[in-house]
Amino acid sequence: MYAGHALRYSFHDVNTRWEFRSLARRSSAETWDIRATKEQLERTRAVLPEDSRDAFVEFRALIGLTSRELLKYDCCIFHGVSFVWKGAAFLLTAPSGVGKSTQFFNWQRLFPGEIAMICGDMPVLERREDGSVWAHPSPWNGKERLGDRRLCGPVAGIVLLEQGSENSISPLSPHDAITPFFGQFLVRPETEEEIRALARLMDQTLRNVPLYKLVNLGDDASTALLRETLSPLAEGGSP
Amino acid sequence: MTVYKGRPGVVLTEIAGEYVLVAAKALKGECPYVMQLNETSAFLWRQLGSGMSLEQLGEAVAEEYEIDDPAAAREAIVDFIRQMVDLHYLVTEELPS
Repeated sequence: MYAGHALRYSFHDVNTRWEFRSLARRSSAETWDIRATKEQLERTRAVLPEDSRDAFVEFRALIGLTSRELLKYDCCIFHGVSFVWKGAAFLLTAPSGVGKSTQFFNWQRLFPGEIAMICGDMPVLERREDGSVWAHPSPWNGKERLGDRRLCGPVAGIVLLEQGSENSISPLSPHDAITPFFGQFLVRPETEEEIRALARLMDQTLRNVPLYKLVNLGDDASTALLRETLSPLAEGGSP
Repeated sequence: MTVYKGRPGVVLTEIAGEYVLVAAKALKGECPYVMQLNETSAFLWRQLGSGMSLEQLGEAVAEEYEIDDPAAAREAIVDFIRQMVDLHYLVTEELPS
């Protein structure tokens, strides 16, 4: 289930099901929404470590296919750490290796029990009719496998991370966010309909959710700065 | 006469008040996935949807932006088209005069 939508998969490898953990249910249905092609599996294998298991390769190949299917429901998988703080969801996004998880772990260590992970790597974002954007869990929750399938929430802030030689945080305009954010939505649309669905989700996200850029050292001070900036948003106020 | 058309699979969208060209997956490796356009460039792109010559584009821009001399807009239009052709967002078509 993703944001309340059930998708049916057909797997090449019987063990792929276990990669989905508790989010998957066995089905006797003979039709499916998503099945990777052999070519897609090979393309995915080419970018993963050589010793990757077949089930893991298939699991990774299904990310983009799942995102495409979810576009039908105004949802898409997004690359970022998502967590809940005081009932609101926040996203930290950046290319891999920039320090998204570091910020989360710093926060947990400095302020124990304050935040909880929705999904450690690739949450599902959902565009709602009331103008909000919600973050939901997905099975792709990073190498630490951090996430809680029971958690979700309205997104109250998104922070684009960059490594730097000092810590600073500033509002990010939609103009400056569009190009990097396109790369963080884990889908490459194949049709005009899919492009327009992704654009609607991005439009609502960039219009209605406060955006920030955190240039940081990944140290405790940068996490304190992040927390201080997001605090009014968690309280339901304006930045 | 040469006319210019947006390539099939390239879609102009508007996101949070910004104009963005998005290329479908079939064009991966041929043209950039995403390119932000300013308002004038977005207007030009829309005109190109119907297939237009340079002269026709100049007239459309002059009318839209109330420019007395269409030739004055021509240089900017030529630059835009050259860039879009170089990036493979545009295709050209030769029509009988």
